[in-house]
Amino acid sequence: MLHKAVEELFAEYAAALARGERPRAREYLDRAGAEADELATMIERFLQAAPRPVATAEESALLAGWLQREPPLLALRVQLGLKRASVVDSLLGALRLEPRSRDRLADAYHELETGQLDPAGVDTSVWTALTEILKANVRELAAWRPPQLEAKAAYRRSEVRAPLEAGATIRQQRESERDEVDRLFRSVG
Amino acid sequence: MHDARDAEDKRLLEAKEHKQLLENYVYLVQEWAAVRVRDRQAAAEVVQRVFLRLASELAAAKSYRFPYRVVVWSVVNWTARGYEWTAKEGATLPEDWDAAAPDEYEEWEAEHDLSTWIADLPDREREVLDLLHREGLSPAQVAERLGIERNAVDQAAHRGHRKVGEKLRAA
Repeated sequence: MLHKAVEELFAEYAAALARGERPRAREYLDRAGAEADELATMIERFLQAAPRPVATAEESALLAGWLQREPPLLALRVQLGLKRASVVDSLLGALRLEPRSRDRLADAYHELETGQLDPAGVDTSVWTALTEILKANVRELAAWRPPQLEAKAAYRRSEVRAPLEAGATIRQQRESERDEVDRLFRSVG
Repeated sequence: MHDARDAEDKRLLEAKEHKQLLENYVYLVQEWAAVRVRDRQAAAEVVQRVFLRLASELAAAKSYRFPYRVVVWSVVNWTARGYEWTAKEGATLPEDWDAAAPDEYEEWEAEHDLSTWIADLPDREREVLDLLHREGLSPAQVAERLGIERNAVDQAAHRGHRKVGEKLRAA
């Protein structure tokens, strides 16, 4: 497999940063192949010298999530002063779902918001709608998973597992009635 | 070249605006963790550990001898380095971060100053990178400031970044 010269990848990364974007080093490292370590060192050193960008709403939510050990998507919604029900209602309209799908949509959104649902299985239309509703790069926030941190975190994981198990039961009950909500939120697995 | 952001960090520290101070480092810490720890989940844990650590130090009114950006980078570096050990042993991080000695800090500063990397670039490339990264202008603003086409800014930036990359690679 041919890989772009590492200097070229670095130049792309630095230029994106200069344009005020948020380039993700991981994507560039993937493209660097065997030279990933060299590129990693270059990016690391450059970031120590380059100016840091001003925080976005997503970054503010991420920080709140990390510090409070809560899902950042939830933190963002709370920051915006939105009830989960109102987000679900907005989603229902944006995705043009039937009113009878509202409960299932609420379940799916809850799982997404609390890091229990694989974002890879979520349809692009959901991300587009949520980005509009929450005014942030929701996809990145939804990638959060409960971290495995120390003893306290283990206790918290058990808290998160309860709704996860409940969600699994609900899913089993509804196995036979996979519908549009499943297609939109659970197209993987 | 770090004066402006160091001054802003100092202001936020003195005003105890810790949330804003830390928010400004979210992207950098994520990126530093990503280049140091390749496993996504492990990197995410490193990021959270870093911010929990930084927040607890700020809450304890810890004072620092060095600019805050150096503190943040050091905590990332240290956390990433110790990640495997702490994950395996279940140990918590030590109370004091491993601060560099003053002479090491000065050396660190010299090595991480963009102005030294761009000093010997051709004039146009140096001007463009200086305005983009030191003054924080957008490419369009750089074009206006220098009275050149936007495309010329992009080309000069690309050439300049490549050369900086070559230096970083060789360093």
